[in-house]
Amino acid sequence: MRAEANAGSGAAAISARGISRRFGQFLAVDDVDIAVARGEVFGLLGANGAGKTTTMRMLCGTLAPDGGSIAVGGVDMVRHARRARARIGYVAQRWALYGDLTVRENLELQAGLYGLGGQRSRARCQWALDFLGLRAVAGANGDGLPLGFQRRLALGCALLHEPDVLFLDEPTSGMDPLARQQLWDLIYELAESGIGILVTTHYMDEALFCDRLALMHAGRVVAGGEPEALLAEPLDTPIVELRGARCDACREAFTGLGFVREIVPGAGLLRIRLRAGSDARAAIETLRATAAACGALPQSLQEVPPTLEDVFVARLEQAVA
Amino acid sequence: MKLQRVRAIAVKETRHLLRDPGSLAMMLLMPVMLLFIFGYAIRLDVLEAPVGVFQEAPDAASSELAAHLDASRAFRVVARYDSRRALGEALQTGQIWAGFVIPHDFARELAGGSARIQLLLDGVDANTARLLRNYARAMITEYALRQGAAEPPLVIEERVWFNETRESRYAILPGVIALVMAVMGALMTSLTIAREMEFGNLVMLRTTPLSRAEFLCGKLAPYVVIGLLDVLVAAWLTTALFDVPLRGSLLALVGVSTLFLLVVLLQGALISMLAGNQMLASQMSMVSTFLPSFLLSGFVFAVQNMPRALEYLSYAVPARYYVTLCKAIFLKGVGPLLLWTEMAALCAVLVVLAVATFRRASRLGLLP
Repeated sequence: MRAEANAGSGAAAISARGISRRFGQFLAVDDVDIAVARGEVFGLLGANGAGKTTTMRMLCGTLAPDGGSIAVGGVDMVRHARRARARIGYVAQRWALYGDLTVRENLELQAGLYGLGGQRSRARCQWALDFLGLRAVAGANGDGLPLGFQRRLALGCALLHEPDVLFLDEPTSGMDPLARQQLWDLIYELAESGIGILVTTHYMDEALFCDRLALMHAGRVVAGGEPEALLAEPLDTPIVELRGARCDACREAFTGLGFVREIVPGAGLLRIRLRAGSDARAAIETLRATAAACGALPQSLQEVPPTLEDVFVARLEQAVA
Repeated sequence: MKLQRVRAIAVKETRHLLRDPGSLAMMLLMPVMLLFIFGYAIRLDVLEAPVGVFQEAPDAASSELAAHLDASRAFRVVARYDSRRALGEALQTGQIWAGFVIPHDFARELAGGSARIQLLLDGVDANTARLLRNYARAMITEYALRQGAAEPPLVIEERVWFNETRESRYAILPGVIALVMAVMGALMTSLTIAREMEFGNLVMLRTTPLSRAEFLCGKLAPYVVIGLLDVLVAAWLTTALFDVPLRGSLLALVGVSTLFLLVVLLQGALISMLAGNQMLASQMSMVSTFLPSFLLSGFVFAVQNMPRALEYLSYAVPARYYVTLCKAIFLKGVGPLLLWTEMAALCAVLVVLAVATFRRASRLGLLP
């Protein structure tokens, strides 16, 4: 919705077409398209080695693609790298600022790197301190800050020059739930101001916070779109959930059944993924009988809607097959 | 190239330095320390060398000769021996560096017009032995003249220019400045880029519009200031404490030193990028500057006396040109324009290093 509201204001935040990158024999990214509108939060998902870091590096200009085109804020990233870099802000996953400089000094350095002059530099540094709640620690050295503050400082540094696009590489990894929530609130606030935001993450619950997603596997985008649309699509591998006592016994008994693809145990429940094309109704009857045979009486046994993770697992299986 | 970005990097670098008083103190005090060590330790002239005398006949003439030797600045008679054997043992144990044997008929022969005495030298330190021999010769000749011997038919009237009293520290200290600057300059910058690589700061810098030229200029700027400060302190100590005259202009010295500083700072920066970590970088910079600057710069050891291959190798050592320039400015009082070959050579090294550093910096991933 935010995306639609701000889509009119000029060129897309990110527009990458057919980008590829090879490292020796290894094809890290293979013909990937990514488009992020202004005001949109775009999530890039995938396991380690799926190609999301390589994709991110190409999008923010630190790695040249072997093929394809990349534009940020309408500026060609390959041919006009300097102008393009002036339009992006990047927050690395690991601390990449200077630990022996204070919060304020780190901000001043970054303002200088983006070519902001005295007056404007001071104003923007003040803004960052206020916006990110860093005023109280402005005089503290970077390496003494708690992780959450370090991330916010890095975010502040990336926003000083009012970029069109913000890249966040695993922004919440290692953070406690409260700090994560606060960071996501900030991300929404920034998106609302019209910045296009690209986030990489491997938290599935965070993927749901994004306006649109792309799931990468082996260098390709295997699933993409709005999370609601992805969830709404019918899955050909139904999920059945069992709740009740004696889950362990049931799990052992179910393992031999031909239509069971995978059993994921939870607290007091089992999530049973059926093989593609299975009839859920018939499967539930068989499961109930099997459970009864080993003395378990489930409180409930029914088909449940898939989670985003279920969708991705299914898509990955399709991609591999 | 945007000045704002260069300044941002330079300010940041200066802040690193101010936050790290240990390193800063090392950069400012190490030159002073090295100057003291080398200034006092390297002595090529001999003062008050301990010598022994064996008078075969302790008569007035031989005692007078011994007293004459003792009175000089070169020798100090520490012991008189009563046998050749005792004198020999003293030489062997190192109590004395040289021994004079004055024969029993010395007085008679001297009166007759052709006396001889024997000089025994400890040749383990060949250079000192040679110096002592020359001193002894000069003093004996002087003594003979005083005793009324005739002047030899041919006499050299010698004058040593630029260093009239032949003080070895005159020749050495300007060279020490060069040595110190070569080592310090490269060491200072060898740490600085390796540090960014080690701490992962480049990950962030790469995504900014910073170019490698802006990065390098900003990184080196604070060290040019520190280096020049070092040069001034070293020059001041050399003249004030060691009494070496500065006959040329200070401006010429500062100009030449700036050129040399740029060379060694770039060398350090290049090493920093090649090594990629601070530990290796500091070791590489020490070895690659100290040894060549010490051995192949003509600082103490004349390059012309070396085997041809080493002499050619010395042309690649930038300190060689700086040593020549420093000595010329301090002692001869000539300007760098007179020594334009050395200036041109330094400029050439600077260009080569600048290009090499710049090219290597493309691997940092910053904008070209």
